[in-house]
Amino acid sequence: MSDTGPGELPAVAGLQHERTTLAWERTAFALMGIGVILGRFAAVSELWLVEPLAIVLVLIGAAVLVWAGAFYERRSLAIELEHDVAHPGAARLVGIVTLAACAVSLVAAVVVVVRDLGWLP
Amino acid sequence: VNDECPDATSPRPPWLEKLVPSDPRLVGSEPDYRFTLANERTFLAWIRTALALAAGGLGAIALLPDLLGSEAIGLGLLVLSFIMAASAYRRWALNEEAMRLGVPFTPSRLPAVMAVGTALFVVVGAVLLLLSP
Repeated sequence: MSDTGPGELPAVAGLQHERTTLAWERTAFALMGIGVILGRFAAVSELWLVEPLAIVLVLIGAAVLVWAGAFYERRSLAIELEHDVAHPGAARLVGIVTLAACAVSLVAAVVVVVRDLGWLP
Repeated sequence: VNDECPDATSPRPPWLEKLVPSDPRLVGSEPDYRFTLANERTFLAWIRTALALAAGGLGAIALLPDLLGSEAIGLGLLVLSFIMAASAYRRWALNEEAMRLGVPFTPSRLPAVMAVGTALFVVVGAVLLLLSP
C-alpha cells in the first residue's frame, strides 16, 4: 500500500471491497423484493396480519442498502489501516431477518393452502 | 472448533450457540482481509438464494393455480428456503472461526441438500406439468 494516498486502496483491495459492497446491495434489493412479493401474496390472500411484516421487510432492505453504501468508506479505511474487517452484527441482522422472512412466508403459504383445501373456516 | 475454544465470557444455551454462534472475532487471529470479505460474499449469496427460493415458493402457490400439486411444490421450496436461511449465519461464523484459527472448514451438507432438493423439485414440477389438464 505504498503508491496510494490517504483514503486510497491499491486496485486489488478496492475491487475486493467493491464486490463485497455490491453483494450487500444485491442482498438488500432481494430483501426488498421478497417484502414486496410477500406483501402482494398477503394482500391477495387477505392475510392482513402479514401485511405490516412485509412492509417492515421492505424498510429493512432499504436500510441495509443505505448502510452498505455508507459503510463502504469506513471499511476502506479499516482495510487501509489493517484493522479487522469482519462485522458479525450486520451479518447476524441480515441472517435473522432473512430467517424471519422465510418463516413468515412459509406460515402464510401453509395458511393459504390449508384454507384453499377447505380445512379452515 | 467450538469445543477447542470455549467462549468463557458469555455462557449461552447450546441450541442458541448452534443456531447463532457467538462472535468469531473472539478466537484466533485475523486472517487476510480478502478471505474475510470472500466469506462474507458467500454468506450473502446463500442469503439471496434463500430469498429467491422463498419468492419461488410464494410464486408457485399464488401464480400457478392450474398446475397440479403447485401447493406442494411451493411449500417444499419454502421449507428449503427456511433451512438455508437458518444455516447461513452459522456457516459464516464457523468459516470465519476456522480461518481465524487456521483449521480446515467444518464440512457442510448444505450444498448437497440444496442441489438434491432443487433438482427434485424441478423433476416433480416437470412431471406434474405433464400430468396437469
